[in-house]
Amino acid sequence: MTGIHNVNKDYFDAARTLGAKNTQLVTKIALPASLPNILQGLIQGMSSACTALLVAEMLGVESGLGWYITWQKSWAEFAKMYAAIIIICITFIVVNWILTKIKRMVVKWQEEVN
Amino acid sequence: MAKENTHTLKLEDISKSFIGTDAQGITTALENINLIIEDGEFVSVVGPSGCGKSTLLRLIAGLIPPTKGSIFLNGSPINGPHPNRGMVFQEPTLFPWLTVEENVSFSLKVLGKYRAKKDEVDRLIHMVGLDEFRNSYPHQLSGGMAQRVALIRTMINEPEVFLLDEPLGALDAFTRMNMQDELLSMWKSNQHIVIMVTHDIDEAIYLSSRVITMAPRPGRIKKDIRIDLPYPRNRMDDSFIQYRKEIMENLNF
Repeated sequence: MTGIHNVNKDYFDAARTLGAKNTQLVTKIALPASLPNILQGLIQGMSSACTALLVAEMLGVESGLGWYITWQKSWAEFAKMYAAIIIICITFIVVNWILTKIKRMVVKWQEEVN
Repeated sequence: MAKENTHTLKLEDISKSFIGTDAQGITTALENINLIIEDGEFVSVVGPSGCGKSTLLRLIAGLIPPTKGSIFLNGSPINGPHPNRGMVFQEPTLFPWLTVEENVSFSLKVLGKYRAKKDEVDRLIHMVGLDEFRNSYPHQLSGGMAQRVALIRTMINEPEVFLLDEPLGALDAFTRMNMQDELLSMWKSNQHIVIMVTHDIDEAIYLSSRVITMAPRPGRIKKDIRIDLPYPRNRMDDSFIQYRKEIMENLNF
């Protein structure tokens, strides 16, 4: 929501004087203008969602990598425990990398900040 | 009775107030504006900041409604924006997610005229010398190039009224003088109404057939001056300087 809220108001004024109707203001201005923010939000949201999922697995359920870590720890199988941790790290990195790639592809019009 | 001119812009007793921060909570941006602009006139509006110049343009564009009074174009009242009244803003406000070409064709696409007038996009991009940049994004352009794109993006609709809100304000002096000549040739080629807000009195005299000075609090028209000089004008000419003096004195400088 803040993504759309932060769109420069002048874009809407310009589009209206160029003949855009209300629905076109949404599809042709609001959405593309806020896409970088929306994607950024997705990336950040994904990280917090994964963290929350892991914690939940460790506490309640009896499946998933989070549960596997606590389960192996209780058997003192530290090698398997660390293997699980490494798999989690790799998954995190890959997911983040893919999302960032998608973001770069979709918003190639943004000034590059490298 | 003579037939009424086809393209006439008429402002009838226009007032505009905003919710403000003063004691009464109301700011009067414009009060009792009466103005008739005929086809083919290039009108510049000059005045100190806060005199409602930009508000005047936004009213004519239909972006905001007047508090009192009405505006007519060719006899029919204005209610809301329409592509026959094009506006160019102080900042180019190009859509950063579209290339130069896509920005210029934006209006044709939303109006469903793209197929019919596709060649016009090429012609205008060529006219302002940006063929090489047609696939560039706005952040890759210089200020002058961006403002040229903004101009042709609006021109593509061949608006009957061209509203310019300090379009050259953010440019350096040299780019600015080149752009002034480009504006003049654009205006001469279609001869519709141009209304430009500017802070630069020389620019106003150089370009316009008519200069309107405004006073603030509340915003009102102070003087309506016709510039009777042949084009192209010479900024060093005696009569040019005479006009500058007249306008300066009128604005109390």
